This record gives sequence, structure tokens and C-alpha cells, in this order.
Amino acid sequence: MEQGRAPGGVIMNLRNGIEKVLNVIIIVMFAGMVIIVFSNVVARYFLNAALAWSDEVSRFMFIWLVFVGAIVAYMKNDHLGLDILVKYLPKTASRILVVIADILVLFALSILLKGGIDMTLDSFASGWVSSAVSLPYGYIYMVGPISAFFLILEGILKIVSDLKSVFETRIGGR
Amino acid sequence: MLTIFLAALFGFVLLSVPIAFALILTTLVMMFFMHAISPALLIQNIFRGIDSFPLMAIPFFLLAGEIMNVGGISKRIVLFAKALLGHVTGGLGYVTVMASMLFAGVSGSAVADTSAIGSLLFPIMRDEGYDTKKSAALFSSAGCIGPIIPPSIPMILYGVIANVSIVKLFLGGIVPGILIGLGLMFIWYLHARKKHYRAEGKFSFRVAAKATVSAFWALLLPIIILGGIIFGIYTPTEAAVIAVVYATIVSFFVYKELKISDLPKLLINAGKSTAVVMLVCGTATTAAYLITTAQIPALLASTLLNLAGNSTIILMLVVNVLLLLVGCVMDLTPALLIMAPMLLPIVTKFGLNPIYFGVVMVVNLCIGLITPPVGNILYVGCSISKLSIAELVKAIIPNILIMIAVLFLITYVPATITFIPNLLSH
Repeated sequence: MEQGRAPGGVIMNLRNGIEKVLNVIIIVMFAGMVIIVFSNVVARYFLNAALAWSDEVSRFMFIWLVFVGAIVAYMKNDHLGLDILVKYLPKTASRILVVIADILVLFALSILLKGGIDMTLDSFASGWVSSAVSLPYGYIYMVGPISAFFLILEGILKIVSDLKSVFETRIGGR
Repeated sequence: MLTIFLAALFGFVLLSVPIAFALILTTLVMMFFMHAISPALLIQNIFRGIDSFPLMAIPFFLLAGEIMNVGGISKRIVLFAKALLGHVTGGLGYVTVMASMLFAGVSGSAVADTSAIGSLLFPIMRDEGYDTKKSAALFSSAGCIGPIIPPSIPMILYGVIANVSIVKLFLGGIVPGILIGLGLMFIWYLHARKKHYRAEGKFSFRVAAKATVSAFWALLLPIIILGGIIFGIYTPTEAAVIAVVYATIVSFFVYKELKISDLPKLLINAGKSTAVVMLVCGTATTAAYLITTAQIPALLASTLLNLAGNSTIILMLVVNVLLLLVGCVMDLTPALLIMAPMLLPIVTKFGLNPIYFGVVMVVNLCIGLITPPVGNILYVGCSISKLSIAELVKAIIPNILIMIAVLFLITYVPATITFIPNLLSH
């Protein structure tokens, strides 16, 4: 299956590179959340001084973690789904079904990309900033369209490899 | 509109579109029929569903679970349970249930509970000649206690959606979780008697004392988490982050099984699992926004009202059967996130306590984790035991039945749920 997902060496190298960068973002955001929230617990109970910015900053890192993690999860096919129909249908039919599902996902993602760009540009334009650290909300919402963009790239790779396997079964038979 | 919603959702899901994306597509379909398509509104609600401090307990509990497995904490919990119960007839079965219940006190996820306890105990049970199918059925169903005994990821999600106290939900899960544990032990007792398992070894005070000392730091963890939450010393999110730091320190300095180089992989794994859960949470929030705008709960309410009249007894029967059916085809998280916003307005209209309803719902959908055709824990159980789904399903039926019996017990004796939260509410 793995080589079925390899439309070309350069693209796969690029994909691995992207995955590494995304993993680093996940580690930084997650470790940051742990450190910030824990520091706040310590500050509040032992030093009697809550860190005003900790709630806000950790929530923003959480949002980034989720949207970046969603890309890596999609790369690893980890998202929750149902494959009963795909399992019980004949091979060709199920592979065609998978391609239809891929196209639907791509459609959902392009709407998400559109909505995300609109929302990000709007919030940059309005100059809306967060209350505790005065960070423009655009920097937080930005991760939505970024995530959608990389999910779309991955979705296109998936369609290419799934289409390939449709044709392979048609030519090779069962 | 209800028909459109259900047809679209199940249509997309059956086509094997991942549930998070199926929810986006369903929302778009509903927006289309309501002549109000707005991509920005769609993603705005996804952000709204994720941006919450209480929900941050989810990544922390998932991370704590990863650390406990790698760092030897889970192993100590199992060895402790084995030293206490291992010598009884069919003892390893009771060990499995007890270890799952103890692990449930630190983990909020059934998958984490099942894979931790199952992968540690199943090989031993198999080697000692226990029935592999019944053993696999036992650790799989015992793993479902993970999100019932606090902490609990589904209860955190429910608490945020329903805007009720997560702490009270946690407390409400204690008795139902223990009842399910006892029920599973009873089923195992019947099996062990039929099979004439021999008792292995004798209870040794020395071994038990040694295991207790070795497990001391591991056993302190549920006490720190639950004690702190129950007595209002810290919030569930803070408890979860304390669990992460505590598990790291104990695994690193005391048990010396965790290496610094393990941490990036654990963060990535837990980060990915977090993203999977939270993406469904975000997209379900968008869907829920439209469900409410389209007044679907009101529609559903009148249907249920026709079925149930004014009787809460019949209402809860209908709701439980409905949720059990949903649980057969849908995973716990999406089922909870989709059904809770629809059912909550109805049950509150009937005057039922949302805490009580939340616990019933979580217990119900946890049973769905082991009911075919779709059950996440069935898959975990099969991958650990190398059994086929069909073999495991056949062996697990008595466990499912006893869990359903407990479900109806807690449904119709609400005090089993509400007693502890009422006792400890300040």
C-alpha cells in the first residue's frame, strides 16, 4: 500500500519534510501548554499569584495543536470513520467509493480554507486583539486556513493514489 | 430538517468520509437548505468548539496515559492487583477488572485503559491456560470502565456542551463504574467456576507488601487526581496537568523507565489523539449550532413526547435504546457530541437532572464501544489478542448484557448516580 501512495520521490520527500516540521510544532505547542498550565498551578497555590496570561496563551497553543495535529492524523489515516460499506463491497466498487469519499473531503476542506481565509483577514483588518496579551486574533485563526491548505495537499495525494488503485483493479482484475 | 440532517450525516459516514469531515459536509447541506451558506460561520463555530480551558484536560489526560504506559506506572498497578487477587480461583480475571478500575482512576479514555491493561495481562492469562476468548472479552469490557470512573474524557466533553459541572459528572460516575466492575467480576466468576480453573499459588503477605511498596507512587496518582478535584483544590484541567508532571517525575526518577528521548514521541502520539477528538468536537459544535437553529431538538422532542407521553420512565427507555443503537454504529466521542445537544433540551424539559443524564449517556455509549459492528474497543481487543472480531463478539455477549443491566439499574435508580455528587457539593 505504501508505494501505492508514492506519486513521485520528490513529492514524498517533501511530504516527509512537512510531517517533520508539523511534528516539531506539535511538540512545541504541547510541551508549552504543559509548562504554562503547570506553572500557573504552582504560582497560584504556592506563590499566591496567578499568571493572568497563562489561560489565554495556553488556549491559543491548544488551538494550534489541534489544527496542526489534524494534518498529521490525516497523513496517518487516524481520523475516526466508518469502513463497513467499504469492507463488504466488491473491490472495484469499494475503491470507487473511497475516491468519492476523498473528493467529498476535499470539497469540505476547500470550504474550510475559504472560510478560514475570510475569518483570518477579517480579524486582522478589525485589529481585534486578545484581552490578556494583546495578540491579534488573526495569528490564532491563521492556523485554520494553514491546516486546511496542508490537508488539501494531502487529500490530493490520497486521491491520486486511490485513483491509481481503482485502475489497477480494473486492469489486473481480482 | 431532522431527516435531512440524519440522511446527510449517515450518508457521508457510510461513504467512509471521516466523521469530522462528514459533520462539515452535513452542516453545509443544512446551510444549503436553510439558504444560509457561510464558510466563515462554519469555521468560526469549529474554533468556538475547541477554544475552551476545560477541554484542555483532554490532551493532558491523554499524555499522562502515554507516559504511564512507557514509564512503568501501568505495570506497577497490574502487579499490585495481581499480588492482592492473583491467588484466587481464576484470579487473573479479577486482577484484570481491578487493574482496569484502578487505571480508570488515572485515565479518562477507554482505549488507553484497554490497551494498557490488556497488553500487560492478556499474554500472562494466555500462557497460564485461561480461555483466550473469554480473557480477551474480559479485558475489553473492563477497559470500558476507563471513561466511567473519573477522570473521564467524554464527561469533560459533555460538561462543556451541557454547561454543567465536570466535577459533579466525575463524582456521578464512581458508583456506576464500580457496579460495572462488580458485574464483570460476577460474569467471570461464573465462567471460572464452569472451567474449574485451579487457584494459583497462595496469598503471600511478603509479595503483597512488596508489590504495594513498589506501586506506592503509582497508586498515589489516582488519589492526587481525584482527591484534588473532589475537594475543589484544583480544576480537572489542572489535575490533568499535575498528572502529566507527576507521572513524568515518577517514571523518570523513581521507576527510571522513562527516557528524555521518549518524550517527543509521546507528545506527538497524544497530540495526534487530541487532534482527532477535538476536530470531531469542533465540527460537532458547528453542526450543533445548525441543529439548534433548525429547531431539531423541538422536532425530536415532539416525536419523543408522542412515544413517551409524560412518563420519564418510558422516555429514558426510548432514549437508552436509541443511544445503544447509535453506539452500535458510532464511536463514543462523535455519538456523544452529536446526540447530547439534541437530547439535552428534551430531557431537561422533562425535568431530569442534566448531571444524571450525562452519566447515563456516557455509560450507555461506553457499552457501544464493545457492541458490533463498530466498536473501537473491539478493535483494540482484537489487535491485542489476535482473535477475529466474530470470535471476540461471541465471547463478549454476557459482558454486554451485564453492562446493559447496570445501565438500566442506574437509569431507574438515579440515586446511584446523584448520591455522591449531592453528598460532596458545597
